[in-house]
Amino acid sequence: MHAEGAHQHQPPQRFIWKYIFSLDHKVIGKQYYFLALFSVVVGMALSWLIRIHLVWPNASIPGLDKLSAAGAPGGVMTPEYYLSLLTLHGTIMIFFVLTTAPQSGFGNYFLPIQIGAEDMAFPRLNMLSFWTTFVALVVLLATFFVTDGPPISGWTSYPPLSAVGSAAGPGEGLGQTLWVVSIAIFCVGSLLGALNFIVTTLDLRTRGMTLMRLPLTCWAWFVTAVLGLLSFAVLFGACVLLVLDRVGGTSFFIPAGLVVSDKVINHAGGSPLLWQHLFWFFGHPEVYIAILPGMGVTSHILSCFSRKPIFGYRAMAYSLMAIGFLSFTVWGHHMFLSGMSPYTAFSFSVFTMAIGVPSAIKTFNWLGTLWGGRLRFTTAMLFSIGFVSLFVTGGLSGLFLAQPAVDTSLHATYFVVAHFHMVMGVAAIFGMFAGTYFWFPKMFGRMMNETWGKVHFWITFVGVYCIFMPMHFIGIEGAIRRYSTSTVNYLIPMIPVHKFMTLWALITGAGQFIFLINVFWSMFKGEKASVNPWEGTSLEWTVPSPPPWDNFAGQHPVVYHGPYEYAVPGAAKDYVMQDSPEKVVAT
Amino acid sequence: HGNNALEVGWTTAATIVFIGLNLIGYRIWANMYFTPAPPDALEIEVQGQQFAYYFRYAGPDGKFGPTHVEKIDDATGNFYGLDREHDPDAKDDVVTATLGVPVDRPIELILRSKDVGHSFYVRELRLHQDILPGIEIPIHFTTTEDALKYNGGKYEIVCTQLCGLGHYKMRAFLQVMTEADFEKWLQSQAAAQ
Amino acid sequence: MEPVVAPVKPETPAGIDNLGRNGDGFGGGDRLGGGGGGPDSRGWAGSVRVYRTGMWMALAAIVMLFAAFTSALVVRKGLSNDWVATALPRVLWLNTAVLIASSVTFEFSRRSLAGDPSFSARRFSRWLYVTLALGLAFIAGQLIAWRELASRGVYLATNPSSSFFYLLTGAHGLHLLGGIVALFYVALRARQLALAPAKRVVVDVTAIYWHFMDALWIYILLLLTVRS
Repeated sequence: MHAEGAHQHQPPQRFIWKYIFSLDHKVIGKQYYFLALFSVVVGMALSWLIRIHLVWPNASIPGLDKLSAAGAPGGVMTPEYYLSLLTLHGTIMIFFVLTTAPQSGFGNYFLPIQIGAEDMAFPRLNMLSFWTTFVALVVLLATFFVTDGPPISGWTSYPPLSAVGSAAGPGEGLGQTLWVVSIAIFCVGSLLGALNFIVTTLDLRTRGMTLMRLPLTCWAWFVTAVLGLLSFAVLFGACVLLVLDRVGGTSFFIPAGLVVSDKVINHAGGSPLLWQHLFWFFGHPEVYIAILPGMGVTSHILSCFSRKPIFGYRAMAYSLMAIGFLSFTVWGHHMFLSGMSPYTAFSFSVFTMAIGVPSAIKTFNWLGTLWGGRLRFTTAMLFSIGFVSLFVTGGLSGLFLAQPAVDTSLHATYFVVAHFHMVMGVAAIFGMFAGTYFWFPKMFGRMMNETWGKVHFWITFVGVYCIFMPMHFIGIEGAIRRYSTSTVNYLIPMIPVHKFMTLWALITGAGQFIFLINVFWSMFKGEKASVNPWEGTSLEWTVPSPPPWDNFAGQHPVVYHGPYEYAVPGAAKDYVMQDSPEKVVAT
Repeated sequence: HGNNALEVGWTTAATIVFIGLNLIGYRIWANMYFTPAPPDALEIEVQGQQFAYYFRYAGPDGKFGPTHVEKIDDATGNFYGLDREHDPDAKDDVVTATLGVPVDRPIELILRSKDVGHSFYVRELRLHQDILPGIEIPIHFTTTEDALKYNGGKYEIVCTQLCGLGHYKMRAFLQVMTEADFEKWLQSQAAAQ
Repeated sequence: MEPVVAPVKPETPAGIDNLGRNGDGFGGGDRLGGGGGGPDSRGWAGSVRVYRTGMWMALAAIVMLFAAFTSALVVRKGLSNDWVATALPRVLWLNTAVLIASSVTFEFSRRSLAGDPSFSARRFSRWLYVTLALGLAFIAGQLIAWRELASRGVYLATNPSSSFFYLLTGAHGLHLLGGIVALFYVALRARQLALAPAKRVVVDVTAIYWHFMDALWIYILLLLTVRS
């Protein structure tokens, strides 16, 4: 019930304890958020370089030779540098954006408040987990500056390419080792964070906050944390094995008899398939870690701005748990054609279709929430509706990929790239945008500019469809991913489509500056926010904007209602706060 | 707050549709992978390496000679590391840079890698298999007469598993030929060994 | 020696149990809300629950890590015909006995706290020091086992079986060292007579971890003998 252990009795006064090594979950949440914001700008810049190279491979990009003289002599990107940028784009986006902001950013800030606690269960562990993640990012970015450059093996880092060292290609020397070390450090930070979230949710709920009265954001953060706790440990183990293969002379992943760059490799008997199993056992829950918080935020916001309770609260909570559980059973769908047993492949495909069912339930329930609601089209609401649209689009393409017979044609094509960008690169990002526009008043005490928010929404919404819809079609036609240039005969006719996608990538990217300016300008000059500007019902809307350092100023809220009591018949207003003693229909 | 009947309804409908689609697709997958190649299939070895494919035919003796890793020498064209002087089975092996196949005959490809992970993909024939270093993976197919008509029977084989800086240009050609043309082609390749 | 009496700490004006310099992560105390909130009806028991839950969650993650290593071992062994079993150094059996004994002695010391508001510092600390010594002896014994293998020319990269031997024993040893650090901490707090009933969760939680390390070691030993 109370924050324990290291929570101080008075707020810290000195700058270093207040802002740098703060133990306050709100500060740590903001630190994660800004780390993710910085990372997404870097990741997006990398994506522009990728897209520009795909349509103008021989162009000289100003300044690129300053970043790497070997990788881009005269500013012209070499094929290996293309692969390096691609590897870092994926790694930064998936780990340092999608695994940080939705969970550790918003979750750290709002989980304790929404459950009525003063802080997370282990504030010092919380601080440590942020700084560990920060160190991991520094190590990763350091790969830009080592002699051989960043690794070229993709964010999936399959051995033997990633295990045999620099014989396999540029970037596969120190760069690859640093990459593995960075990810291992990231695993530790994530594990510490996941532990904190689980314990906080289980043990620190205030009186009256039963599990079935938790906002769906808390449910999402909780299930995500369980996924993280169980999956990141496996990735950490895999990274240890890969590092040992690289520097310790072991052969966990390297088979015998390899000749790389005319050198006979002195390893024997390992299995590249083992890495794939370990990596994807982590990798599939990881993508659900990326999307579940967005689902929670979407439910939360759609309910608020439809002025209706979420349709089927229990089904929503149960489907979050079902998705979490099933996410551990489907990893083989990344490996249908890998050489593993085709019988195993088929069983993975059945589970993959099964995980579509709770996802469909959630989609129907979101639509059911909107149906008949008195809709308020704030920017946060627009992004949440956009989330539903993008999740449906991305989910539908997933159904195709889940059939191994169809995957025979689509594996490793741009169809896959389109699918995962739709669900992760866009839907999850929309969840973050929605969360930002919704919670910014609470976090910073000021309102964001709604007009520019809506401009940002429309540019982004139209833009992402223009970028990623055509990608499905070139994928079906056989466009192969991770190709730095289209020299294969049948790829050449697709170049005009690439040009269209690049154009929209640049336009959409430019549109994000509207968001960045809105965020930073509003932080200092935005209109001052009230306690409950959106007329929401959950506990974060009972505390000042921004909240005091111990959230509830020494009080302990008591919860009487469920989280989405909007439009309750007989209530005084069209919403009933969770901590309001007003007697209405029991929940 | 919700409607239980609707929830049950759409959950059931989604389950039936999703699992149903999956089971319908089972047959196609089973045809490709659950049945072995017929015993009279023509065996051809495919070796993926950074950044090319090389193919090996067993020759008249029908046997593939042993490969020796330390004898591999790309400069002299000994991609498989054959020892033609000391291994009788290797004498008549034919190594080519193009995958020639006779039409209307079952073909079994044995996929292997010399260095890192690769993949073998012919999009028009829906032939796709990752090549895993350390094991030999068989896939089988039979081309029909229609395959001769498209582009003169010439198809691009591309690599779809990230294998290094030359991944984008790792490519070979599959040439479907009539039986007679195939025998002529194989003999001319054998003469050039 | 000195009389055994639970230390009485003066309550601060806000009714807050001082948790020590800058707060230490251990030792649940009762945080009564500043200025106005009455005592929590659940008392301190509810607030120390976080440490137990946290420890079980940490153990879940460690289980997954060793599950990953186990599956790697099983796959690797099944894959190839170059598996040469590593003969386990005999000292490992002695080490196992030492570790089991340390779990027993830890329980002696922990139970001396049970139901006793004034703990017997002497009894508690004596068995704790024995546990600590046994834990250090285990680590020393593991290092001896490693040296014995090295003297036979068996190193990390010698063959797949030896790789897993060093990997599993090394990973376990590192985790056990963490437990030893925790034991040092508990011993320190005991010396400072700072183990009032509310603070004893640190002992319980360290015990859960320690016994788990014991069980994990037995699992690893079985895995290495049966599978390796």
